[in-house]
Amino acid sequence: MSTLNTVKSPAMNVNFFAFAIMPNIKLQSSDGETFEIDVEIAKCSVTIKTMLEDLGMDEEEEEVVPLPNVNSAILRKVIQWATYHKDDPPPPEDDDNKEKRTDDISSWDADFLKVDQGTLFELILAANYLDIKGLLDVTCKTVANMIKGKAPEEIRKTFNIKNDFTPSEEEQVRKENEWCEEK
Amino acid sequence: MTFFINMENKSFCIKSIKRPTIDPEVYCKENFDFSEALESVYPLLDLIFEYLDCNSLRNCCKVKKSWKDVAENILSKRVQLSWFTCFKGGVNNKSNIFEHSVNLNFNNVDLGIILYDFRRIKLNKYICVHTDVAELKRRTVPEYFTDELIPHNTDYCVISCAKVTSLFDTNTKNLYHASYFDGLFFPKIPKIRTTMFHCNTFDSSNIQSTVETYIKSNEEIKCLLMFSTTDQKKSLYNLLKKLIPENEASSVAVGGGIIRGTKTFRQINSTKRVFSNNDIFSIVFLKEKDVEADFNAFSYIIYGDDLSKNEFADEICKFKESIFLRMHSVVIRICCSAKVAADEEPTIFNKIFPDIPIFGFHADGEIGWNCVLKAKEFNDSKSKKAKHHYPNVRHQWSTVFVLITWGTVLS
Repeated sequence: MSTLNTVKSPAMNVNFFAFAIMPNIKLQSSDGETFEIDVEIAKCSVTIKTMLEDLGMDEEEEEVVPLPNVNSAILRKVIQWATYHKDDPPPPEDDDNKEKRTDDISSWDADFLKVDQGTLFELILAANYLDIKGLLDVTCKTVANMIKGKAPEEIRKTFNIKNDFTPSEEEQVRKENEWCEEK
Repeated sequence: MTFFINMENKSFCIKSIKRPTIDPEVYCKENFDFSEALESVYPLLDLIFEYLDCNSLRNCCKVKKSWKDVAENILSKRVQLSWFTCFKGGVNNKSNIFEHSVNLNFNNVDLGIILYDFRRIKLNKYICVHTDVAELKRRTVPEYFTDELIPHNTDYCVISCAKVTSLFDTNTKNLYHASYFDGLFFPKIPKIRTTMFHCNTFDSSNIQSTVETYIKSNEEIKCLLMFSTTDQKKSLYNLLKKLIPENEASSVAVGGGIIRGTKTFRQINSTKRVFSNNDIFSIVFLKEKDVEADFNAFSYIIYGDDLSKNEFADEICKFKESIFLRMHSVVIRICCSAKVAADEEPTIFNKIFPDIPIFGFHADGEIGWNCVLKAKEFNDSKSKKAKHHYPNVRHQWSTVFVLITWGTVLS
């Protein structure tokens, strides 16, 4: 996969100096597969960044960072995402009082997230474990979009949820939402 | 900010603010319970629900019990005010502009109040709502409100006034141009209940039944907004007597005015009668008697239409000195429609109370009394004649401010 090896990337070959100051790092997935990627790309994960800083890993040494919580299929996706987004500005701080938009997902991200629910969930877990805010945001937004604009029954269908309200509780909820216009 | 096209005043066009719904192509995986998985990792469901608007969260409450808990918890944190305003502005004041707070349709709304200028907006007339996909929807004004601006199942009222002069954001609005319509949404404030009702003040049995229907015996009014279509001299007190005990009058904020009409849209619909000119429409903020709430309401009257800017500012300062503010505040400004130089009043208020949105309208007679921390003594001789001990509640040539504030106290 070309995105995983930045050495082959034409953009990197143009500037050899940039390549020289950006060494590679090896990441090992839970199932033992090793991925060699640019340190700067790996550092979009706050977890890896802190690990490198705290352990004082010598970047010139051939160290392998073990990631026991991420399997190779998911790690491959995460690296693909991080490589595409390596030049993104840091995501803005959250403001609880502002509407959090979900209609601003880029078409690349939307394509990237055309996956099954299990993969989406594992991507969320990996983004959370690796502390990649941008990926966590976009995956959560995608789940939010699966809920938005849907009636309760449609939501249940999408998420395969069993209705656990008793008939009387459901009647109560229905009553709470009864609404009519006063003439 | 969105613009809409004005077509020679014949039809009213407005751009839709509805965001498109995106359906992600995430497909099901066999033997995988996505919902259970999301719930198994705390606080993942919270993180996702943070992105949902008010209507979606209300739908989530109906999905399953655990979702209800999370959704209700998130809704309870959204205690900010939200608003919208529509006015003429832009280049050469030729465009009609619609602005709204960033949390419109996101906020947890308890009650909505919409003011509109009856000379410029007709409720039964169709307006054109333009969407991004070059689609045109014909809507009456209330249909448009319900479709785009009011969260589902939210009680709201529409009040017709001579002039609508809110000041939510000083950046773009030219104050000399009043709004077409302005909307204000109160959030659900913990331990505070809001309700609204019509009541015929000449009919004591109607007063009694209305009060019993809408106000529980263990509740007390903290703030009362009253709107009438005619000047109710004595009958106004018939209702006041049932709502506020005489000895507590100065601790309840009261404001309102004589306006052209009101219409309510709400859940509780106990009356199906036609309202007469003897009706008063009231919006009340209630609290249980023995319960403390992080909520206060104050009201203040500034008399006279010949005050200089400095004199008016001095009055506002006096008001500010006699109250305190909490985290979130809004002021309702009721101004005499006959005042000549009232255009500067919102700006002066804004300088003394920066960041407090002003929701304002002109009335043909103002309603209110002073309710501040140290209440002024009211004129005793007048009230003896009137056989009650309420402060005078009807005014002319005045501006009434009702300041509602909630959340933690600001030092």
